[in-house]
Amino acid sequence: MDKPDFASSYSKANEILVISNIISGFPYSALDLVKEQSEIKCRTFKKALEYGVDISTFGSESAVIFEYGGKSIIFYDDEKPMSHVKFSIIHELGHFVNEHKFSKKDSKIYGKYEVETNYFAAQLLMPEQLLREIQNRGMRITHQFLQEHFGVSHQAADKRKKTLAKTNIEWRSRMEQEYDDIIILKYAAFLDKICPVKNEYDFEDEYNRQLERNSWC
Amino acid sequence: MTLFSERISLLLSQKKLSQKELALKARVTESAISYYVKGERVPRGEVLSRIANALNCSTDYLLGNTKELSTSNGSEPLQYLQRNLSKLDPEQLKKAENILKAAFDDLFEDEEE
Repeated sequence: MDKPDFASSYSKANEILVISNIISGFPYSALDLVKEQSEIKCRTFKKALEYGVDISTFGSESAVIFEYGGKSIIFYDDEKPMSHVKFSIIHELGHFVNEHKFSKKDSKIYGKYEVETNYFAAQLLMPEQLLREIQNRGMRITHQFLQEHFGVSHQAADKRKKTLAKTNIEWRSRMEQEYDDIIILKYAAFLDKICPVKNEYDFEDEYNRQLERNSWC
Repeated sequence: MTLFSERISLLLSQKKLSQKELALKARVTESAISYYVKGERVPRGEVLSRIANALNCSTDYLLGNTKELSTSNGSEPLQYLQRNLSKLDPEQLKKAENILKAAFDDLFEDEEE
């Protein structure tokens, strides 16, 4: 398999996190995000069936993007659990945003594409910068926490926890870190809501500590 | 009546669109559309292509240069990433693709869920 371009998927997801008006907190509507970020239309499997098209025969489980005559449609199965469908829709948006060539029939390239779009979707649904900030504020990231506050499935939460444990923010290049501050700033209200900053500056405490330090000399 | 006015009237009735709706969709004035339908004027360039887009057909079709409604005559490939999970053999898949191609524009234009 060709090496997936994680840096590019990560940066593209970050750009959307910064510029989107739809995302101001989590969870948000994946359908609205697709509408905001592209000309792609989203239609349910049921709608396609009304036209005599059974999308599930194309081998997709919960969502799939088709392009024809310069137009693109993401078909999604709204009978699947909401959290699952949302991930799949953003995953499909990822194929578009990452400019994947749909005509490629090579399974190696397909594997690379899938890894990139999963990474893209995970970053858009559970931004790494926010999770690190939450950890810095002293909270533990559990499956339940991710499911509850970011509206993702157990499976997505599990994967996210694993990748988070394997990566280190310091390994990121300067380019990848470009949006970190602005993302934290943009979602400050969301962060404060789910994880308020403890240990606010306590003047009296600090004063007493200074007195103690003075006594050392 | 020009061929252009015939075709625009035909598409309006097929798609059950009023002149006003077309004017809105193509971002032109209602009176301009009325001239086009009556065959008193034929739009050019930018306006023509906006009308063709709004009616989901090619500019050549509107002008009468071709009998094909759309530039895509079905030979254009349907693009998607093929999953290994597909239950169909290649022949059935081709059939399913053709059904989707035929319905694609209507599905694209179908009102929001």
